[in-house]
Amino acid sequence: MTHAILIRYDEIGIKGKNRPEFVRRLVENIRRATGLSKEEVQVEWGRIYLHPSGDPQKLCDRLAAVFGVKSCSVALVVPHELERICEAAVELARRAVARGARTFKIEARRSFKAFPMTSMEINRAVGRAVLHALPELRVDVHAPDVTIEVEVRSEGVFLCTERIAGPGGLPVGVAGRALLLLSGGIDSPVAGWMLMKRGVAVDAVYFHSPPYVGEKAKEKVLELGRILARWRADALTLYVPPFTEIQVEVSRVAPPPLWTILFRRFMHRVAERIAEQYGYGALATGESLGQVASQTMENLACVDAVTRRLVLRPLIGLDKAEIVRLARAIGTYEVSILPYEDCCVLFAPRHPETHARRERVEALEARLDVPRLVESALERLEIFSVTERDVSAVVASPST
Amino acid sequence: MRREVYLDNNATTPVAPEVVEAMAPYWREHFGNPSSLHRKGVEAERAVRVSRATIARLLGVKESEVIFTSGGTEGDNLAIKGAARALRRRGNHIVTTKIEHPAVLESCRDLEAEGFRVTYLDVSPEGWVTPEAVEAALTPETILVSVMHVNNELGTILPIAEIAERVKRRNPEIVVHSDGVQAVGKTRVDLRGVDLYTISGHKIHAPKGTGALIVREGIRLVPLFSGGGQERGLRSGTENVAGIVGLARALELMCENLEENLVRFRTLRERFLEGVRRLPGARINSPERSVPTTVNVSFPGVPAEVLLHALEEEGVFASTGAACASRKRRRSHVLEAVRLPPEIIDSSLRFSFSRYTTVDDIEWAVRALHRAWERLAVRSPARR
Repeated sequence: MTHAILIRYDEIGIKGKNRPEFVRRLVENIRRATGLSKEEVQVEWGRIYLHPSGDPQKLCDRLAAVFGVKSCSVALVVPHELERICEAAVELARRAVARGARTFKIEARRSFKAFPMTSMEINRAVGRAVLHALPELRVDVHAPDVTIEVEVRSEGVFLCTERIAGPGGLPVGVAGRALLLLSGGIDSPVAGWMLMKRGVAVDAVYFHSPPYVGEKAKEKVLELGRILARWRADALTLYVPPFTEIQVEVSRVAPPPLWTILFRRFMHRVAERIAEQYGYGALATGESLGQVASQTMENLACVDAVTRRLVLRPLIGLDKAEIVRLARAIGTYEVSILPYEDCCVLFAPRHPETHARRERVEALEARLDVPRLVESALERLEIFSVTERDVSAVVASPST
Repeated sequence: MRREVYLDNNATTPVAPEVVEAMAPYWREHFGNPSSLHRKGVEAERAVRVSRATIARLLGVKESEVIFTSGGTEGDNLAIKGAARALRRRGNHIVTTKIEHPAVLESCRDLEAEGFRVTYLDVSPEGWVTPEAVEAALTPETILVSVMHVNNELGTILPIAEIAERVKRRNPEIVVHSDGVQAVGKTRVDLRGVDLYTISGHKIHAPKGTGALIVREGIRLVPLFSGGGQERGLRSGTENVAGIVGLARALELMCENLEENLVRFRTLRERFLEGVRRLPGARINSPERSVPTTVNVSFPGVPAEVLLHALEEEGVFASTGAACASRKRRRSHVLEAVRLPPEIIDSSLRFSFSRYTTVDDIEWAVRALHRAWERLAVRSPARR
């Protein structure tokens, strides 16, 4: 009897012609997340099997952060012999009884048609063996305490009882690349996570304003990047353009209520240039409609007017409470609430404009040398490569 | 290399090379447990004994009165909780001040939850508490008085010897504790009448995790830790031998040429103050009666945190009296207790010097301050 991990993926199972690409990506992400070799990963129709040498339970924990995994189970693997199948089923039933199970059912599936028994015959034979070995158990086909799944496949027979839920979604990388505007707040990391869940490879840009905010604020964002990197199976790139000059210039020419919108327009301009240079199909933000005074439809439109690029806002319809719940589940919440602000209070107006008029905003920008300010931020761009284990500064451009 | 001027020595200090050198053999060769009966243990025990003797000599106390701890917080907790719990039957009242370190204030709060009553004395605008004010707060129930020796944020030196004298004259049974973490090596230490005195290693160029509590003969404490009964049963746990050696060596460096050091520190302070006074609007918060190593200044109109980061860009490290978190600011309880207006607190920076600070460092820092001030005072949107 050996152990294997059985991974189920269903959404990507229905994606027609794109399917081979999806599966290839999922397998690659699984291998990156688990560090398993090619030989340890086996791809079969509708299933992925891992044959790890190490602790299978630990691998399941890693798989819980691989998008595209619907569920996984630690399975016993036996040869195509009824006697061995029954032994394994009894072993699993015994473990279930130890955990308090009193009823069970056998659910056999036979994709290996050369096996001499039908699914129904297997159900009956294995069920009899379990009842014989463990007389305290009863069969209940409708609501059993434990279901013993028996999959007869060409490469062997797999038995398992528990399905550990995976995160679902699509494998990161199948849906393109996006550049997330990451602040130190609660929302933007959640927005990044939502996009990764839909298969987008998310990298991030953080606007840093020394001396108005300190190194601790940047460190906090790097820490958020580190947590997000766990969900994308490889390094997350964090771009850090300096934002001080833009903030100082904007605050010089514009009345405080309009600062926020002007800052955001500049952020999108700088982000678009980074997206162009490093190949991102979209920008992404953590905005949610009406959440704060500045996130109104008018204001979002006024910001979108500065770029032609698609701007994804996956949190647009969520309540704060829903976002917080997600942030806690992802693990970014505790970091987000650390007291290091991403924007100094000096530049946070008490009463931001809720209905910014584009003409007014553009007239104010006409008093600034917009291209030079954007260029100057890009010239001093810092780039970090962030993995779950490590943060390193990237000297050369990662891709062009 | 980029120049660094570290003026945050009240937060922590670099370990002195002499200290590292003194400690090194006790990690690698003489690593024994002082309780062991063999030679390895004896070597370690001797090092602890010699260090204890050094510290006792430098502070003018008996060897048996030095109890090694993990630092200031532990020392304060052991002194305050230990003494109060030991004296519970005699009374339940404690007197302290509003400008103590959180290790003292929070220990007092814990004791309040246990049923003790605590008086938190107001302080003067200089952060000063008169012996008379302390005496006036005493009641027949008072068992413990805890007044810090030097305030960490302002540098104010409090008259602990006089306070102890007054208290003892009124009732010799009252135990007097003083937190001396910011005092040793920076002012003369006179422990007459003081029963308990906390010192910390990392503020005087020994490593973090080292410290001592002076416990005068006859003072009973209930220990915080149960265990093997080390340190006269007051602090169980295998002695941090290397750390203890380091603490003693650091104290030697700080105290042996104290008068000379103080002269040097005063020169630094004068230079610094001269430079600061040339900045329009700058306000010096530290009083005359303070240690020469601490200068607290406000630069109204520029938030302290912004100025701090601007100085950091020039390699100058200081600390703030208020952290700007969102729209609510967390202001220093000390600066609030000396009744500084909010705008003064929010723009206050603390510069603290050490034996490694040079006149060049001070001039660099002053120049950086002037540059940062010009840049921020002119461009800061705070004027709205």
